[in-house]
Amino acid sequence: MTNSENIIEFRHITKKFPGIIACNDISLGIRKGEIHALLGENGAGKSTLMSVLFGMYTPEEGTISIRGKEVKVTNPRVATELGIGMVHQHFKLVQNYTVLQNIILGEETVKGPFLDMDIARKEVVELSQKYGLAIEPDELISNITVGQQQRCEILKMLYRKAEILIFDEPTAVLTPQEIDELMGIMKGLAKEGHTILFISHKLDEIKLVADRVSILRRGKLVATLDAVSTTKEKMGELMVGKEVSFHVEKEPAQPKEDVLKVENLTIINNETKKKVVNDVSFSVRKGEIVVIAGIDGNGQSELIYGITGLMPINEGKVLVNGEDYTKKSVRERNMILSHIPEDRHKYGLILDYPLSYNLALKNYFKKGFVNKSGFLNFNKFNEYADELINKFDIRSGQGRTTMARSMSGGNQQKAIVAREIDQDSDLLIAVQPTRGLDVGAIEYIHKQIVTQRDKDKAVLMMSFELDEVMDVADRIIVMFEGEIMGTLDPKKVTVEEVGLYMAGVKREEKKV
Amino acid sequence: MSVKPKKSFDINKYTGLLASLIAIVCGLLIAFIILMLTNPAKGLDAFMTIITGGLGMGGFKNIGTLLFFATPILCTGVAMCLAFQAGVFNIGGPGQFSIGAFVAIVTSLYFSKDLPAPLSWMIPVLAAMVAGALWALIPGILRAYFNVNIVISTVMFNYIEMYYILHWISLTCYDALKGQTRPVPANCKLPQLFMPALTQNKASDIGILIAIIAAIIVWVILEKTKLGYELKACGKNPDATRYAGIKSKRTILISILISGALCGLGGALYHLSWSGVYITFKLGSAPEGFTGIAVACLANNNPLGAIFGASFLAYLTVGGNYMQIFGFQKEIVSIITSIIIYFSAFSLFMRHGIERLLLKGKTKDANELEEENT
Ligand SMILES: Nc1ncnc2c1ncn2[C@@H]1O[C@H](COP(=O)(O)OP(=O)(O)OP(=O)(O)O)[C@@H](O)[C@H]1O
Ligand SMILES: [Mg+2]
Repeated sequence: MTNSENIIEFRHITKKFPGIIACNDISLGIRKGEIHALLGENGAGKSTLMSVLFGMYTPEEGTISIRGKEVKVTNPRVATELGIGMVHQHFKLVQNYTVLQNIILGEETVKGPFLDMDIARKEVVELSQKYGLAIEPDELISNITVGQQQRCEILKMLYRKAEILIFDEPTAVLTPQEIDELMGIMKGLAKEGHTILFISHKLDEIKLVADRVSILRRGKLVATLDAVSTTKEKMGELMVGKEVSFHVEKEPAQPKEDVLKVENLTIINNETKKKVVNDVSFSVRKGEIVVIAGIDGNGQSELIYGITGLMPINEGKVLVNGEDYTKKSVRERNMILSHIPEDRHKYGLILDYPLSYNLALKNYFKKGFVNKSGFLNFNKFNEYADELINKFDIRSGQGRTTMARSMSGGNQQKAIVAREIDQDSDLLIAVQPTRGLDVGAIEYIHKQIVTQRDKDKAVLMMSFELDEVMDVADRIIVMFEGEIMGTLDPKKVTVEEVGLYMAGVKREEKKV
Repeated sequence: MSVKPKKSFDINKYTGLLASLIAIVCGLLIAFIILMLTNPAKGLDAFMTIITGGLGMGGFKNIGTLLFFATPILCTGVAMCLAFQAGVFNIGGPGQFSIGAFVAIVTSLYFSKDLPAPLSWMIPVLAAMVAGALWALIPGILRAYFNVNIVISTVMFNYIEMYYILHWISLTCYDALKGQTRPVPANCKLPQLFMPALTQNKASDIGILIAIIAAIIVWVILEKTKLGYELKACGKNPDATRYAGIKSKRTILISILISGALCGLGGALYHLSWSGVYITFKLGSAPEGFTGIAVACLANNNPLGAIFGASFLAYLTVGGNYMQIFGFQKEIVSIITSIIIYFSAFSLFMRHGIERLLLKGKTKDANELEEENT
């Protein structure tokens, strides 16, 4: 294992959390200049291993050598000094600072007692040109897309002269176009001598950019393979321990009457005064899965928030089962719809509540969970939590008593999906339900969604991933700049065609 | 590999306790230094008095005094525990406390003094709770419906109370001779029952028992009921609370109402006691309101912890009073006790420090770090 060309050498790393060994005796060498992917089920310990390298966790056992020298990475600052940078799954940018300010934050250049932005600006612009990281230095973070924010994070690392770059699920939040760009950027960085560690659940991406891939399972390293010559199937099997299917099996839909009917819905952004959702009408019927496709930022999120009552709507109507829900409270809506929200930390979870409390978030006030005098029935809470944990294979250190905050990203997502699907509502609204999930979990969740459909529920889903859209949908609605560009049949269109609608190039004629 | 879910070992609970202890030790240390600087010869003796005096000097009878001081700050402390857990930063304790005290005095003087036994004291107590709640409600409404920062509005209401209360006292219950409120009629004071016998102190009454019961009730509400589930959820993540269909306006109003009522209760129990306290005709805030914040911090916002927090701070107050024996001026005494009290309020702060230093990596994760950065 010991190899002089290895820039990083993990030796017998063990990191324990209460109730679980997140990393179990992991030894792994990373070669200089390679793109090394980390693959593994949700909760396998990928993020933990990277956090150990970046100095956020101190391992109980084992050592790390960098450039042949044993080091103690006690905190992220030490990591930065060692030339290690990390782009976290949830970015760490100051919202009301500009891109440039964020990049140089803490490393400002000065002339005498004054800030001298010009030197820094020049350097940042040079870096951005060299690696093809297009940014607008003076734009506020709050005004730019997720893809741009990510480029800002990458520049932040490069500006600090990082040589070893860690990306924790960088593509989970990106649109397909942005993913392609990022892949190009990563290859360029590697060519310039950077070493890249890259966590992903998407096997295609790994095959596309990575040189080698290491697979973790339940805290242990199971294999390190050549990424190009290994098949997707082999990777899937190694990580899950059994064969996985990458396609959704389903019978043709048998839609019945309308469940959700959206009529002329318009939402105006308070600040820009732009119509982010513009006169949108569509319906979702019993027994079908309608998927909203589109590039991020074309009004899909707002449309969903409008329907679920989290954002006020300016015009139009929302009808469910024929009843007008436009003015109803969120609680009233929750009685007939389930909602897997886009932002799992903002809406989906109370991070400092235990898992059992989070799983009961939509039920705690219902009969069985609370008695007539307002006392919670914790036996019921526990029973219900254990049931969902088993059914959806939610993994964590301490079962139902685990704080949501300490769960792995994918398992947090599974908890939300479990809770919402189990509501068994007439209408299931699922926004990127499989974001951050491993291939095995994705297969399971897709199956559950199809099962809901087959139980005559209406499903409205939103996804940026075209593969998922084509696979799961019975009907596709494409949105562009707040409007519906067309309603498509996934069996009759090609991925390329959907792409044209998404880019606003093609548009279905308006039916009268 | 993964163990069966058992009763969770919550490391946070222990860091909380450790933080409180460290905060207390720091406070004591600084107090000691100041004492040594003011009077090197007597400093050590005086310091020992603070630490041991609570029970040592006056014998067992001090227990009564201790409980008397603990009663109001337990009420305000519990009030803060509840408000802070719900994410409502009610800093209006002093105002709500004084309004409660005033209403209790006035109700007993003008209304309940001719009523039969339990009513004669229960009515002023309830009136004080209602008054404290209503006084807190206004900033609550401003927060819920107009999004006015609750810290600022509750502090402003402390100022409003500070001026108005003197005006109202002068209109209703002013004793011009002594420059303070008129004494509460004896039959309106809190029942004493077995308390004097228990504490060997003639002035003891059931105030502390009522305060402890209040603390237990609030704990039960927070930990065992649907309302508590909603309040805490609101304090931890208002967005997710909205997503779950919980009405956040209603939650804010309920928590500040209960919080205000508890402060009002503190005012009533203090002023209906047998120890003979009055509202003096001087401009100023009731310190019991602010001390409540320190109690809540020491208790890590746990109402049961507040029982110990309040007792500890009361213990220091009693001990501090004995320092005058060594020739320390009254003002020094209150400076010293305040230092210790306000240092206790730093315990939250300490907690973060401890987590960083000792338990690095166990309680922090990326998300938490991220929150701190932004
Ligand atoms: N701060 C923490 N406290 C307690 N347990 C933790 C903490 N962080 C992670 N864990 C546990 O360690 C295990 C590994 O988590 P980790 O985040 O490394 O998984 P992962 O491989 O990144 O998964 P995912 O694909 O879901 O992101 C999980 O079971 C998780 O519950
Ligand atoms: Mg992870």
